[in-house]
Amino acid sequence: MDFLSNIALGFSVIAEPVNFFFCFTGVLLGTLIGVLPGLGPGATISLLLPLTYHLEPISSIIMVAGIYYGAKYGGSTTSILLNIPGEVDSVVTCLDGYQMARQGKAGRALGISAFGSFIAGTFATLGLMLVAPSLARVALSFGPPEMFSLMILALTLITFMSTGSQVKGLAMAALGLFLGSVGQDVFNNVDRFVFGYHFLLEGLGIVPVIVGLFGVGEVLSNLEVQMKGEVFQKRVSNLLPTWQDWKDSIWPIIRGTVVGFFVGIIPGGGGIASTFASYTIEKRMSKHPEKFGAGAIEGVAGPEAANNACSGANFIPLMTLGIPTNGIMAVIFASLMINGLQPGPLLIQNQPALFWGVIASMYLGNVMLVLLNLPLIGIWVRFLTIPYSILAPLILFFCLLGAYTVKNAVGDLIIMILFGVLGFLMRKFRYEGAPLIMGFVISDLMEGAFIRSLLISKGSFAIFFTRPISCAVMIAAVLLFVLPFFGKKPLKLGADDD
Amino acid sequence: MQKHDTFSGLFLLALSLAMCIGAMQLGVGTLHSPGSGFFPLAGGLALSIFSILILYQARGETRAAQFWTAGANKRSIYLTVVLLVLYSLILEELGFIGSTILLFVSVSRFVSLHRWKTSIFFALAVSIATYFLFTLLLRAPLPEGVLERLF
Repeated sequence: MDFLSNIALGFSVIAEPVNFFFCFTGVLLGTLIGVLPGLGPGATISLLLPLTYHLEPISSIIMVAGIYYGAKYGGSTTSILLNIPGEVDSVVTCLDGYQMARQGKAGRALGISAFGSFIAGTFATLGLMLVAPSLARVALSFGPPEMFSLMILALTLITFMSTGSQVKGLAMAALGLFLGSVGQDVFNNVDRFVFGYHFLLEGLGIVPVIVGLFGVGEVLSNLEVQMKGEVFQKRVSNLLPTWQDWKDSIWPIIRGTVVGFFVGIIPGGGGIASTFASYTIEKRMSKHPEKFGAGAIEGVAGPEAANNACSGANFIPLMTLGIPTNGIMAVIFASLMINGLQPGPLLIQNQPALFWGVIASMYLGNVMLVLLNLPLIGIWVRFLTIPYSILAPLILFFCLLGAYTVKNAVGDLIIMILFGVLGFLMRKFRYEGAPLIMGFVISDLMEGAFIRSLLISKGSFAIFFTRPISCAVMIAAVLLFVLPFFGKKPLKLGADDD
Repeated sequence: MQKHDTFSGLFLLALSLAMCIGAMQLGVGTLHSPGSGFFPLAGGLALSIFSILILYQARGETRAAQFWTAGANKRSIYLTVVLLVLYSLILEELGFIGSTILLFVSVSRFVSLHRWKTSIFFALAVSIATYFLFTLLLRAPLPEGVLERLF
């Protein structure tokens, strides 16, 4: 009964016009930025962070979640029609989706990708609904040592599964942890690295740091080499997949959903890891692997399903353990904090309307996305023709506006610009932004868990290894850290940078 | 392989040393009662270890680093950063609308290379629309200057 009443609570939350409106706004914005290459969900959500100050926490989280999973739908449109991933996660869809478009089957590719995404998104939401409350109950028994070990594991995993060098990822995570310690130290009441600037007392602002790194950094990188691409099929028709298409795609969609869901639960498991995994599985299982890369519909259906299942599952570690699993989840983590909500085991218990409202919004949002993405495809195709020369000034302006309006402090603008330049340099030198942001947002929690653990153990590090859960998690983290030094990285799948 | 990683590794190593010195000045404390510098020191030490590993992995790099890609639009990047800094400096002096118009006209004209007319129209439309959106709808105050007092 509890379960049913919780679901009813969720749907009553989303039935409120204001929440319905922000769910629609979220998925609409998500589709839009998913379609537009060069503007990712990480940057968009960070740009909207200041706006969330002025909204009810539930509305803002519903909107932010909508942007995240909505971007996955939009990203495939650009991959199929333009052969440029609208989103990093949609890169695999380019392989067969664009080939299908070249063969005049763009409509069917878009259709199966939207239906596959819908099925996967809905099942992932169901999974989130069933798994998260039980996991949160287990997590309630975790003490500071377990939380500290889990955070170490999350940081190691996000770097382990990254596309680039693991050591570089770990270096960025360490830098992020350090940057997160700027400001007043609540334990000892001491100002750290403030250098006399009052606006730094509360620490480096989450919004200016994220907006700079993801927003400004991305614009500067895109300015260096202008993106060019040709829309292969401007008029798209026949969006409904044929019976044969369904027969070919249904198992890839089911397998993609399962793979995406489990990859999404693991910290560091970004959408791109799940799409590569799904593509590899489908190619291996196919009776005609030679068709992969030449327009196989399974190569679109599986990864698109995996991608969307992953985005739903990503919310599980965030809502239950309070640990963001990738860069964008770190931004959503930040938006929860901005709204005065502490992500973690108590979130579901203390904020049932929020958790169940977000769940209900995901069911509704997935329906909205199918309706938005298929009948309105002509509009999204037109957006593909907006030149970057118009988008760039707008993105920069929203970055400035976003960073400034949080505290109305010019200092935040300077921080944003500094992090924008840092973001640009990091892209140049192939350092990923996700571990830095993750280290930065969990720094306070990690320091708290670390110091409390040492106080409990009276200064002994053994506490992390004498408690069974903490010990198992620590061993996993150490193994993941050490593995790449003894041979080739077993998983080179990639994680979300943005 | 280029020397990118050698440069970035050395930079991170220097940064981590500065971080460690700063953390130690804050007071590291003991394991029984960690001081304010304890956690930042751990971050600094971790970064120094990882930057040494980056340098170690980069030992095979031989070719000189090519920072810019061929045909890179360097001017746009420098100009954008300078314009962003200028915007931060004039925002509270000139007010939101005035500084936003200046920023937009300059970015549209000199970075995006739009025509003057387009740039000015774009700037006016975006700055005035955003001003009203923020002040009237969201009730978020924006810096006032000469132009805002006209409304």
